[in-house]
Order: sequence, then C-alpha cells, then structure tokens
Amino acid sequence: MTRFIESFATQQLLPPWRATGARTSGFAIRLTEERIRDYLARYFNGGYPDEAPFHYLPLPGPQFGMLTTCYFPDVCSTSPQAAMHGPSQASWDHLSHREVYLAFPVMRHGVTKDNLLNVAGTVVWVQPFMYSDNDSVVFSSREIWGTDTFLADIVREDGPSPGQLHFDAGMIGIKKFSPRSRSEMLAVLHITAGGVDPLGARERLKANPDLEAFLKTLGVSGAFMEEMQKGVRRSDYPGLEVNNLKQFRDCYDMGQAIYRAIVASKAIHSEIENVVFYDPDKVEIEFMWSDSVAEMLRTLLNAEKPNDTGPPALHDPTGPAGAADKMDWDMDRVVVKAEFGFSFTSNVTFEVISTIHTYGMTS
Amino acid sequence: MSPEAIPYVQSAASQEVPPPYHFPGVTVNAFVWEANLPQVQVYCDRFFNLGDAQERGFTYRPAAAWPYAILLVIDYPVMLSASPVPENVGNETPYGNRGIVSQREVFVALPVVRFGGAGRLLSDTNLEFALPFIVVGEPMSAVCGREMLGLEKLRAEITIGESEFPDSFRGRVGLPGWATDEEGEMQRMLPFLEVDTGPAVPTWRGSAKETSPWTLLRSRTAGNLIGAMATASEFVGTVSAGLVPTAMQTVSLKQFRDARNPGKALYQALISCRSKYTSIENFEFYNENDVYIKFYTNGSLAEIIPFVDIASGGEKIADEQSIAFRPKAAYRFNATIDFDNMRTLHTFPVDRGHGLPPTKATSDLISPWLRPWQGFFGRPTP
Repeated sequence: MTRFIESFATQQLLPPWRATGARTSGFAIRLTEERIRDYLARYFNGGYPDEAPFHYLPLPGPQFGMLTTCYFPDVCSTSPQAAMHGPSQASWDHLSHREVYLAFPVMRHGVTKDNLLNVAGTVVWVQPFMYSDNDSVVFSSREIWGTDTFLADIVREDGPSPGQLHFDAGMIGIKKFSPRSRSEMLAVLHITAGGVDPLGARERLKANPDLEAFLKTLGVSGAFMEEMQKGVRRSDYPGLEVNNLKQFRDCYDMGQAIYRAIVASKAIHSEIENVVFYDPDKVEIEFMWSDSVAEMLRTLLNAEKPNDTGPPALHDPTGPAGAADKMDWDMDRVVVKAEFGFSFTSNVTFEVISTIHTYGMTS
Repeated sequence: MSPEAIPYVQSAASQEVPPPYHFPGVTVNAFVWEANLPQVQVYCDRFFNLGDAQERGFTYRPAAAWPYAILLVIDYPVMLSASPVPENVGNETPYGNRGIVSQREVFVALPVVRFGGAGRLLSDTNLEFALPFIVVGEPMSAVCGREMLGLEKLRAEITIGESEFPDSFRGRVGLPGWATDEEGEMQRMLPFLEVDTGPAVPTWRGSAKETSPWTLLRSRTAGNLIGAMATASEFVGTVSAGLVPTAMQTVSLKQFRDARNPGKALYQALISCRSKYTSIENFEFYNENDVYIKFYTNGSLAEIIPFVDIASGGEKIADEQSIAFRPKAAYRFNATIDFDNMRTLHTFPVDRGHGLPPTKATSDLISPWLRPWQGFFGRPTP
C-alpha cells in the first residue's frame, strides 16, 4: 500500500464519520428528466476513455430532487486513521458545520461485457453540488469522497415555532461576467419555511400523488417519516447510497484528469426525533441569479432566466439588517416550488462503501 | 489530447479557474530569517524524497548557499486568468472574460536544491522553493492550489494594514484549528501568525539602526540606485542578493487519498510552478530590529512550526503558546506576478491493488536552464 503523507494541510475529516444531533431540513422540488439525463451523460455515462461497467438512467415517472440543508453541531471521524492523524498522531477531527446540497435519485444499471444493460438496477443518489461553511469539510469531501463541495457563508435559523426556518447561503462569485467585474460575496440561496403542514404527510401524498414513488425512495433511507417507520425494523433502512464523480486535473493540461473515479458512499440517519412536516405552501425557495451560478441553474433546474425580480422580501435592503446581510442580494431570482418538506434531528453515520470504478485502470 | 487521455469535466457549479494567472499591482511584504536546516531536510525527506533514492533519481536538500526562510505576505488586488488559448468551456464565458478576483496570500518559502542522480547531476539539479505553509483568503484559490498543483493551501482569515506608526505594516493570520489535543476538542478559528513592523526606512522612529547586511543597501546612494533601477527586475534580483525572487520555481507534493482507505495514497507526484516577478518598484526596507514575527504553537498548529521556525541558536521568545523572533531582513515592494509553467516533475509509483501492477514512475526533471538546449539537441519527447 502506498502511504498517504500526512501534513499540516491534510488535517481532514476522514471517513467514516459520525455526527450527533444533526438537524436536517429537506425540500422536494421538481426536476426534469431531460436535465437529469443530460447530467448523467456528462458526468457518469461517457467513455473516459473506458466506460464504467454501469449505466445511469433517470427513474421512471415524475422527477424530483431533494434540496437539503443540515446543521451538524458535532462531527467527528471514526476512522482508525484519524487516531494517527499527522506527524503528531493526534486526532484533529471534531468540528461543526452547516451545509446545503441538491441530490436526486437515479437508477444505476450494471453493464455486461457484451455492453448489455442489466434490467435490475440499484437506486442511488447523485449530488451535483454541495455548499458547506467549513473548510475542512470542503477539502475532505472534494478530495476524499468526491462530492463537488464549495465553501459558502451559511446562516440557518430555526424559528421559535415548529416548522419555521430561515436559511441563507452565499459564496464569493461574480454577479455579471465581464472583464472588469469584481468578485464579491453573493447570495446564492434563500429558503424560508413558515409553519407545520396542516395536512400531515399522508394527506399531502394524497394531494400530490406524483410524490409517492419519490417519497418511497426517500423513505427507504430511514432519513425521515416517523409516521412511516412504525412497524419497520431499523435494519430495513440501509441508508442512502450516493455516487460521486471524484476527479483531479493534470497540472500541465488542465483539460485532462490524472484521476477519475466513481465513489459510492452512504449516509445513515438514526435516533430520528423531532420530525416536522413543513407546509409546502409556506415554503419559499429562491436561487439568486448571478452569472457565477447561472450555468448550474440552467443545467440542473432548467431555468433559462430568473422568474422573479429583486431580492426576497426578507432581504430587502430597506428592511432591518439580518445575519446574512453582508451578502449582496441585489439580484433577480429563480423561485422554485417546494412540493414537500420535512425536518428532523438525528445522528448520522457516513461511510465510503467503495470506489466502484476507476477510469483508465485497464493495464 | 492523446487517445488514452482521461478528460476532466468541470462541473456546472464550480467556480474553478485553472492557471496560468496574471497578477498586476501586487504588494509584497517580505521577511527573511535563518531557516532551521535540519528541519528543512526533514521536510524534504517526508514530502519529496519518497522511496528509494536510486530509483527516483534525485534527492532534495536544503539550499546551504542561501539558508533562509522567506515569509511573504501578498496582497493581490487583481487576479486574472491568463490562459493563452480558449478553454474548453462550451458556450460558457471564457475564464479571462468573467471578471477580477482579489485576495491575500501568506506563505513561507524554503529554498531547496534538487540534486540529480548519478550521471544527471548537471542536467537535473535545480534550485526550487518548498512551501510548507501557504494560506489564502479566497476559497476557490485554495481549492485550485490544492487539487491542481498540490500546494498545501489552507483558507485563512488574513488581515493586513498598518501597525502602530504610519507607513508600517501589520499582518494577522487566523486559521481553523484545534486549540488542544484533548478528546472532543472542537475546531475553531485560532490566531496563527502576527507580524508587526516599524515604518519603512528611512525613519526617525524605532530602534537603534539595524545591523544586517542590508543596511548597506539603504544608504542614500544605494537607495537611489534601487529606486532608479527597480523596474529592471534582473538588477533587483542581483542587487538584493536574492531577496526579491524574480522567478520563484516551487515544488510541491500533489497527492490524493483513497476514498475507502484514507491512509492510502492513490496518486503522488512532485509538481513545479513558476511565479515570475516583473515591474518591481517601490522597494523599501523595514528596520529589522523593529519587526516582530509571532507564530502560535498550540494544538494542531504545532505541526507546522518546526518547518517555519528560526534556526536553532537564533534569538527567540518561546512559551507554551507561541514563538516570536525578529527576522534578518524585512522589506516591501510592488510587482506584477505571472504564475505559469506548471509541470509534473516526477510521478511516484503507486500501488493500485486489484491485481494490477503499481503505476509507472515518470520523470521530467531537466532543469529550466537546460530545457531549451534539451529541446534542441535532445531526443524528441515521445
């Protein structure tokens, strides 16, 4: 085994890790099959130059993704390697952070040597982006398990009443591309939830039957749905398998990769409590439109341009100052409808299952 | 791109801008002290001299002829992509037309010499700079530096300004870290580096006149000479005896962890890049007797201290939380910096498992001075 040389700059959060008391809020939003198919073709299904023995396809039926925010008050590595971390052999790993990410489920089919698809597939999730407010998490997730994570300023405030949430994320970017534009701290995402769903989860499903298959997929994760867990053993919840594309550039030709692989990982939530279902009619999800995030909004959310003008009402510059006001909110926005939303507190364990394919490893 | 090349697919969410870069109007504050050479050798052995010396064909050692560490605090008001060819960005805006990023950067550079192995001592020997400590304020700069170039970049809170007196310098670096090694210690922002100077000389403030060799350069005659000739970077490089690194060739270990077994490396290579300083002007010294450099040493910060510490026997104040010392020389200047010439010097063989043989070692160690001649007379690159 070739030993990784530990250094001051690699005091990272090593997998597997465990988080206690994590507070998760998830919102189901509609995506389009065309965009999911395009995403899979661009990142997973091509020849690079060899093709992975997998082919990823959108799930049948209506397409949804989960926009999820989470506050981790205490995360620490459970890796034996963490106990030997660095030349000092100390364990530098307890940290806290906030994150937000988009994930959607797809079907991963095996491909035979004859290039035939196995009909039976495995539902896995892909994460096109994640924002975290902790550098160590950003470096670890990018460099170890391959999540496309970016550093952001994140403000998350759970309201005094159940079902209330105010979440803001911003990153350094450029509002309007031009050779003379300057980078600044730009607002990227604003989410508010105004209260508990008066219908409850089951009635909400009846009112929005498109969600049924998606929520069953999500329910298998054990990530939420206390109502649906009754009578189901803990072992029935194997957790969410996430597939990430882990890749690094060649330093001479930046268009080439010196490493490209698909990494499978898994997050399992346990000790789930304080489950709240948000009233989707009182949820606001708004992506702020800057040129720095426009490509992401076009290719993932199928938004060709903003669909509403100006900043969200809570970030009106004439209003009272808030915690996220060092971000520039003076942009138009893409308002996305939440179809379903929930929140819960849990302990989370995260582990890498394996690197399921490394490109170019043929000889 | 060769048929077997593996394409890198930049994600739609990414803000990465790959090098080369052009940085005009940069302000550099620099501080020089005697390096702890045994620790520089430890650094070389740990990060560069991997495996068997004969097999890899080179050995890194401290540059005994210039045994100093240089702390550079750099303010980049304008950072531009300088890619000479259009990037593969599809219908998106080319990097160079997207706008201007600004940031601050702080690093310690240790001059090291790569000695070529038997029969290649002349062709493969080169002076390079190791950067054991480098922090930046801009997150994507940290990501690009780490993933593309193998630089050990961390993101930090960097504040710079004036110290107590006008025309002086004050720099502060805060890093996320762990203050103690006690179980359950939470990561938080910790102070790591403090630098304070008196006013740039000549000044009537401050300590007794300095005693370093650089005093000579601040005589009225020498000062005028530097002022007049400062735009000729070669001249500054000569007259300042290497204080202004007109072309700093760096070396760094680029490596990545295996996802399932993070103690295992799946790629290890030495990467070199060049920072070329031109249009150097406004070169001014600080009185080194009025410069105070302090590194905090508690908890996780302690791991880096041996490599940035002053040579043993040097005057320093040390307690359980910090070390502090005065440099041999301190100065500032403005310059334009071009960052380019990225190349892989050496790829170390890495075990792949799965019954596959280790990856093959590759080397491209020809010294920069010889490269044009090698290209002219040498065998063509396959």
